[in-house]
Amino acid sequence: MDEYGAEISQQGIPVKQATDDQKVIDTRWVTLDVQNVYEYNSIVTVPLNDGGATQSIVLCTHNSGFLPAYDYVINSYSLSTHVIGETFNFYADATNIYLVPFFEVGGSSIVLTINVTIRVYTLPITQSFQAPTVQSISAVNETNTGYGIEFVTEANASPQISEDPVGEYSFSTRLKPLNILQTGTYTVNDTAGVPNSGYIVINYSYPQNPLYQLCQYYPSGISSAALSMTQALVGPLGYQGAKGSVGNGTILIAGSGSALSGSFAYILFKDPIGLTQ
Amino acid sequence: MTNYGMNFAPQGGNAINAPTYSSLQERLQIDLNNPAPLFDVVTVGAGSAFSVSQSTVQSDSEQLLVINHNLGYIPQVYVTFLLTPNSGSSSGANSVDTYSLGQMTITNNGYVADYIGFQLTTTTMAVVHTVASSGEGTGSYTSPANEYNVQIKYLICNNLGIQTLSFN
Repeated sequence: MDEYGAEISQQGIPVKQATDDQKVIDTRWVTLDVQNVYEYNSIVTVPLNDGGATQSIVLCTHNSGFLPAYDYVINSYSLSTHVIGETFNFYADATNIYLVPFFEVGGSSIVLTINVTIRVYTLPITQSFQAPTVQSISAVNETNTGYGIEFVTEANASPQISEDPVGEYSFSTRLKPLNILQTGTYTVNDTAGVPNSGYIVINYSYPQNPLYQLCQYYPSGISSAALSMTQALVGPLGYQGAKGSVGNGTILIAGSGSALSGSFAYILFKDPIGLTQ
Repeated sequence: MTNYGMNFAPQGGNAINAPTYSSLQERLQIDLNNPAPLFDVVTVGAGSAFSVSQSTVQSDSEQLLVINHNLGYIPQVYVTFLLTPNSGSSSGANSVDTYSLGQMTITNNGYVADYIGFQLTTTTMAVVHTVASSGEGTGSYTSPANEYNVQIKYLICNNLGIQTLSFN
């Protein structure tokens, strides 16, 4: 861990005693930094196929060199023919983000017009990371700091302190970054008679219950009858097919509606403001 | 993007080419001084005992909580729910102690989805209880939401929203 850097605590809390949730910035933190935001807007022709997805479409080239955390939103899409059961899956490898559409009808092809925004983070989500243990002190009345530093952007030569920070400041200690506690992967191996074997189990060491984010992880890629991607892949953040419980140093995540299977990558966040569940 | 800012070098490293921290880097973050609480833990009633016909396409919804963030854009948010039975609960309360990101399902029997989620605009974040029937079932369904409280833990980031953490 670096011994150089800067820390700013919240008002009324001595910086040398402040826990992470009582600081607004510590330059040693690992935060969820944005590598880039990509827009994809195109028209593609996709074969219809009952046997599974048939093609992958490169949405963007991020060139991270590792499997990154990312998320997306489909702004709009339309199909040349009405079909039932269209599915859009997203995958990332170390170079690209892919869209794999699947239309569950055999026959000819369909024209897909789609607009997608993808935000790629600098975080290699499948690599294990554990933030250093923070010191814990007795509760201090936390108030937001009136002290700190801000850097303006060139786009606004004279911003006011009350202005919305987005777009006006490249850095402001009024803004507290989401601080990463832990990353890693977990493979569910559901075994009869073994407690919790059908769950994602994440152990953590932190005085508060962390927020978490999940994505699916495919170490050997994916394959169907008509499509094979053999490189390691990850899905987007925000995997929602699970319910979980958090507490006492363990997160248990179960399937929602069906059993979990496969591998997952996760991010645990330190609460930015010391919220307790 | 600005050319002004600060970089911190890793110990023994280079601040220009490989900073350990750069103020130029966009990151997910939260405004501590917004007049509205952009982060909080709030416990409210989980909603009303909506009753719907499972043989009719029908949807009822109600707002449980509204946060006026007034950011002027749809922000990135993280919302978790913890459902607990209230003093009037008579059910098995099988969702106790579950901690759900983005949406809390109270019931999903294949014909009716009864859930708590959230809706975002450029000025507000609303936590909403919804009961929606697909019209493919029979009989009626009455939500047990009035037997629960829901603890809502939320973070509203000062970043444009891109990930919709709700599912239907």
